[in-house]
Amino acid sequence: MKPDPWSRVEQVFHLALEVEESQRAAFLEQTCAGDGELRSEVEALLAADKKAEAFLESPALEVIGQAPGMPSRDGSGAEEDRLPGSTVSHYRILEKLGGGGMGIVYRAQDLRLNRFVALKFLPQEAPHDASLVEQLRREARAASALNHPHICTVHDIDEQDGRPFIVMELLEGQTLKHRIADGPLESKEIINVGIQIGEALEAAHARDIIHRDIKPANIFVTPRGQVKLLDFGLAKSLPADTALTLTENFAETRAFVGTLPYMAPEQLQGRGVSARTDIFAMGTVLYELATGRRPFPEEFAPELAQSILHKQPPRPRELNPAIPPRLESIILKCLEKDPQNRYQRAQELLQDLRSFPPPSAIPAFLTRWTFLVPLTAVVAAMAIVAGLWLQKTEYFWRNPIGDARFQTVTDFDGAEQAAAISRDGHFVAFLSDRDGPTDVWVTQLGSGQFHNLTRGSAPGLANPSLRALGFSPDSSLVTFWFRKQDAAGSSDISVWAVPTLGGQPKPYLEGVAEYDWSRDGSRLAYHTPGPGDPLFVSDSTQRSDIRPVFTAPAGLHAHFQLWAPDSSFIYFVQGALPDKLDIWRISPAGGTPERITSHTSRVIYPVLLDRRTLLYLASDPDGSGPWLYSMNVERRIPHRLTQGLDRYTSLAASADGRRLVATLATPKKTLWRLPIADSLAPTDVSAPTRISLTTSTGSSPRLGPKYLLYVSATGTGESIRKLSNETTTELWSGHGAQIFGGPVISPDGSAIAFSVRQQGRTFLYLMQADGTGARVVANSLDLQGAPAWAPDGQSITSAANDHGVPHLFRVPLDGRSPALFVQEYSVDPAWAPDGRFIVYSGPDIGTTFSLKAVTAEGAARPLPALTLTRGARRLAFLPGGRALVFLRGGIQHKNLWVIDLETGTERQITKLSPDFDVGDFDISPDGREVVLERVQERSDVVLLDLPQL
Amino acid sequence: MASTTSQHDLTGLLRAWRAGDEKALAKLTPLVYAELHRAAGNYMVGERSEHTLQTTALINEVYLRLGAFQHIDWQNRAQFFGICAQLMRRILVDFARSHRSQKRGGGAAALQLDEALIVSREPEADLVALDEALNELAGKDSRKCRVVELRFFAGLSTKETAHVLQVSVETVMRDWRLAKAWLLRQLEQQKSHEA
Repeated sequence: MKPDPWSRVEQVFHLALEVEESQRAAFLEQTCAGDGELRSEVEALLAADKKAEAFLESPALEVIGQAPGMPSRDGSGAEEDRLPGSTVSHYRILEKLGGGGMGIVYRAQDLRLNRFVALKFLPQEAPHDASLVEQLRREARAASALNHPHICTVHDIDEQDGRPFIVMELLEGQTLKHRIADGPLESKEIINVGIQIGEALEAAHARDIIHRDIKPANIFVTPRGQVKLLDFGLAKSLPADTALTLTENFAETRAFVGTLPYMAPEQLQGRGVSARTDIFAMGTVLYELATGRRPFPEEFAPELAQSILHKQPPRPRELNPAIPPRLESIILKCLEKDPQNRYQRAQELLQDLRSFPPPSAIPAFLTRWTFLVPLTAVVAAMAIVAGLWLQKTEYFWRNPIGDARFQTVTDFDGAEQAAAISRDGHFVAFLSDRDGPTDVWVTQLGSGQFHNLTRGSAPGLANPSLRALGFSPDSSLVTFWFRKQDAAGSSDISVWAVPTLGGQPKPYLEGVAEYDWSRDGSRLAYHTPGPGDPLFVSDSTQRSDIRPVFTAPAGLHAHFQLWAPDSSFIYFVQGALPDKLDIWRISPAGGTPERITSHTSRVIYPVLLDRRTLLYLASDPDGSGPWLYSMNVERRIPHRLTQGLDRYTSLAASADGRRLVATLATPKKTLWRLPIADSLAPTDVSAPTRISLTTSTGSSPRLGPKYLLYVSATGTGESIRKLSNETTTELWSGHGAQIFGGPVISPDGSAIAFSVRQQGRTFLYLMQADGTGARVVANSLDLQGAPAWAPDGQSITSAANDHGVPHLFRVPLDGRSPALFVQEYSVDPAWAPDGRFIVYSGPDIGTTFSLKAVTAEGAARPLPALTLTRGARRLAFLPGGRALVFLRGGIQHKNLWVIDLETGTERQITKLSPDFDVGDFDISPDGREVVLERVQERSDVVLLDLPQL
Repeated sequence: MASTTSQHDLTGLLRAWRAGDEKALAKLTPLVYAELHRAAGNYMVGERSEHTLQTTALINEVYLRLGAFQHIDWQNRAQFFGICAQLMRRILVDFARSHRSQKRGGGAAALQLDEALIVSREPEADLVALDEALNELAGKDSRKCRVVELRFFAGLSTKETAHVLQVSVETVMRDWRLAKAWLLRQLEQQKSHEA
């Protein structure tokens, strides 16, 4: 059968391509055998093929996007009108709220979290002004480092078409600028506003963040009277150690920041700003609130500057006699020309504002009504005023654990977690690995006796992201979260129970992950492990899995259900695991949940001491903690109750709220060394030996030529130390600094680089191997994970947050700006010693992640398939460059393995005992030795007894 | 929430289509078209310089926007790319066509469309003419037309294209080479006729 002409053309075309060009004519002559049509068709195609190499190789959209003559954003103009209705990133823009010098603000809906937010874009006319972009980024970073009820929360910074925007808390209400337009405020309102601004400044100044642009337009008041400070756009956040390096960059902008009528004299003269600069600006705001006019009302800039520098403003009482003399003197003290004569700290100002007699309106009130109103009414009125006052300021906030008696319940070696206490406060249960596996343990307080209730019969008990243990209301059963694996490998999550006095564990609530009984025992709130953790409420006799009261949006979790003592609400923790969480509450009947905290960090284990007093554990944005926090749920001001090195890992309270139990953990890291063979042949494995250090802890060890580097805690931050010839020297240390990903030594051993998180920002530092000449080489990236030095010594590769996803960037050391290198999820890189390719970790999928590689030019490079388990992750090449060392094993316990990247041959190079958990490691330059960081979590159960109220 | 509805729609419709329900495709198309059109439009009026967004990233984004994040199923996604490739072709060709008529209608004699679209590395790529040539190619050999759609309009690699079409990588490479040669010759012929 004769093939159809087209498939014949196709066949001959491909055959001809196989033939050398010089032979093609002869080949076609022969093959086409007189079919002239076929021959000319193929010849034409072959001719076209020669020119078609680049043809259509760039995708159409990119060709169009780059073509000249296409409409560009710059020309489109009316973006303000175009944006509403459109979706940027995962935000649907709804309407324009306002615009100013620093950007245009829109109301938008966060489609992922289904909440309303405000988006702030740069002004349209200045999209290419790099300093404005940087300013916006600085604003986001500085403000996100602050987490305060009187500072507008920044949720995120994102980018659309290369144009950054800030995602902020959406506020209702108006700015003080609008409020002042209606005339002066009453004294008590001024004091109320002043206290709230003062609290915001106190929090910011505590982190060395100066606002620098306090003015009525930057102060927002919600309808409920809550004050929110906006626009940390000019905020300057300088870690003490980087001041010298950064000041140069800031020098140019310094003179121009701030808004003239509210600027302090020293700011105007460019003499440097401090917390007292903000206090001056706050004085101008209070002055304006009290009198209705600015202290320096000149409109003409040179005159205005003269006034600020040299002229005393009129006394506020001359303009408004209703102002109490003490308020006047507070305002005037803020406005002192010499910073030395002002309040030195926001705290001092707050003290004066708070000590102000709250019912300042009373005298006027009394003169009018003394003879008409019975005394009881006056007292009642005073109580109302005082009540309103308290509601807004928390003047009488009391630390709920201020007088608590602390007691250690356990002092076992090993790890205790997930503490629970019975309602009557007599029994404490917890998870412990005292007998080896993690088991449920119980103790009757005061007995000194501890009982292992599960004795290894229930593997898979630990889950730090939910309340794993509890007691039945009558204290007769200890309940525990349990993931039961069947023979087929599928798992089934249920709550199980074991008698408190010992016995056989049995299922308690099948298919339930967490539960809480209401105080009266009549209702059960529980969630199943399904997507969104659907929350159900049922009465004590019957379960109804039909209609959840609440289900978290896709990808989010809702854990730690907790009834309010009066059953009015169910509190819970909602967000993305493990560290983008907050406490919410919902009516047991359902409806829209209400957000209670705004940490967006690791928030876990809420408990209620009474209807209002919420205690919970929350970490700070820099990853420190979790700490113990307290909040009055009506006023919503978070108070951190603890500090120090201990981390709180669980918390529970008795029914009367007078007895608390918690677990405290202190991670301990030590360094060990182990000789290895630089080959892939199996060898005997020896046991590691401990390296003795002068510091109590050591982490992230790195081996240089004849020296060992490690990171050590200093009590106020972290330092890099060098151990060489048995002597230790401190090379670098930073106040409040967290060194992450470990230091990295240059290929020639002469320099050291490291990533530091300080004041909520990240910096890449470079210094000589002797610790001299430390300087910041990157401060604009949000660095993540470990850095790696390119083998040519010219650049450092590190992951940085790129729109929420870590991508590898190259940071040149000659001062050029960092460049995006790998445009997919990529973190913790390791360069092959010959510099031809780089290996990195991909995203976590479930509990695993895969290794990938690209060439130095950025092209994908095949690797033998390597899927590793979450937990410690580090990669290092053996000196030859073919063999890669990595960690393999369980989430907590891993061993070092080596793989030949050409052949895929693998070998295990350490056989560590089960209690040896490797956190990090490094290979010596000669490949004959490894150093290991061993992590030991020491934790204990502690009891807090609160005095009777 | 509107996007929740479309999430269910997308996954369900893709599944139904895979199971042979052609009506599912008819329901799916306008949904995808709208999202894709918006994404492509945003891209095209975006900033020109330093653009790193790729077509596949854009389609992935549309997929994520339409699809539930937890349902990343490669089979669905391959199928989705198949649809997107055809829709991208429609969107971009329509865009080029309207842009051309605008320019001609507006009397702006300065640029012919081909001049506007052809960047130096492209020997010839008038999208409208290409579209016509592709229709002709589809009449001869529909798979080659799909290869061009997937590679040129959806920006897929050879491997991904092979996956979508369920053929070998070699087949895709051979199809691609012949299709390019054939299309280029066709465009050149057309041009010389016009001239």
